[in-house]
Amino acid sequence: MLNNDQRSWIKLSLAISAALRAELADIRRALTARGEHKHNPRWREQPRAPRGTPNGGQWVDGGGKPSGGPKGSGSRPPSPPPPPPPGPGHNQPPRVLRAPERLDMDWRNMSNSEYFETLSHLARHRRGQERVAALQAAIRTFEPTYQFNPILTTRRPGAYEQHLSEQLHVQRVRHYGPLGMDRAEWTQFRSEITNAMRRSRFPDARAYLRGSAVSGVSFGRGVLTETGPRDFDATIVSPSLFAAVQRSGMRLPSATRTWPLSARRLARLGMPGLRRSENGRPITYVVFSSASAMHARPGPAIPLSLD
Amino acid sequence: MELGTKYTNIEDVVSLLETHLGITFTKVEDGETGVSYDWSEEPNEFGASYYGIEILPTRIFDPEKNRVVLCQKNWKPYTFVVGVSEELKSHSAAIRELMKRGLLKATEIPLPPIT
Repeated sequence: MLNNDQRSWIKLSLAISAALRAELADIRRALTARGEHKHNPRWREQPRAPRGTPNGGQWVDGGGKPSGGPKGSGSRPPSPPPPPPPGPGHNQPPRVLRAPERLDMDWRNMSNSEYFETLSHLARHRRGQERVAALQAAIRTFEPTYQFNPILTTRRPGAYEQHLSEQLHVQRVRHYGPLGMDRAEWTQFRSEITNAMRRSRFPDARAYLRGSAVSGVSFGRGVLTETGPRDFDATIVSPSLFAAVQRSGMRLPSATRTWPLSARRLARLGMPGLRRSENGRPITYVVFSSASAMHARPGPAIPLSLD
Repeated sequence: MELGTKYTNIEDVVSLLETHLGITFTKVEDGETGVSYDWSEEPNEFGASYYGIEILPTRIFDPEKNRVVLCQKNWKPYTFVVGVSEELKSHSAAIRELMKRGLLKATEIPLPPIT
């Protein structure tokens, strides 16, 4: 039987896959609108030049001549050159800086939708070292002195790229705030939660923000862009608070964490002053017994405490 | 304040409180904790609200154990729990009045000891 971690990974993979499918459908629609996408469902049956000839494998017309290219004289006209990328002063609205063409993208000045679209292009068109280099450069645009961990051994393919993507989310949220909050709200939220931790009976408590507000990916809705998350998932790491939860008689889903708790229930346990909601979105709190238990769960975590 | 109820349908509790308190609950469907209802006070200038009322099921489905589990030991006799922030004095008083008049059948659950 699948455990919660495995189930979460499957849900995350499905969400990303759904988002990529939707994006591919958008590209197809855009190409169709521009007249560049002429899908032929019987393309496998079209004749090609035989293997071993200079044009081997290329589409040919009925007489066996290549239908395109410099030597071809077929009936299909050559494709028009791609339009130049929009620059400053261009009449079109600014588009995403496509990952396949450029790696020195302006990560700091992207909207949320541009940011996630660019990450998606990077994931699809760049592999291995190139993608790692692009992600590292992106992280350094937010935090020039960021120290990368050179040794991150794992047998799972793409784990280091995944780690870098999460670190990029972390750095971006540190600068601009999570999805669903502006910079001022983010600062206020952090300040209040830090004060609540300090005033509480649990001085070892440290708060983090996790979930779709940080990762940009919702299990139910795929990649979020400008709309933001439905709720905020906060996490409190505190061995003493976790022990208090155990003593109160609450049943736990595992030996290291609680179910999502409301601010009211945490107030009853001795941690008052936490927000119930932010911008109309409910905030739930999961208490972990240790930081390592929290980091073992999938997805990035942003420290909320200011100290 | 925490109240235990023995209603069979959570919507009965919701409609009763909505009618007599003049508030509107929001349905919260959480993948981990199931369906509950929540009302929060008006947000302040920072968009934050701190106090509210929640109506929670006392039992939830645990996918790891593949069975329904009790959320809290002292919730065992009840089907749904109404939680009211201690700071909402007027709402607490109104709910106690409902209980006194027999409109809301509920029992106050004492705060569990925290040592």
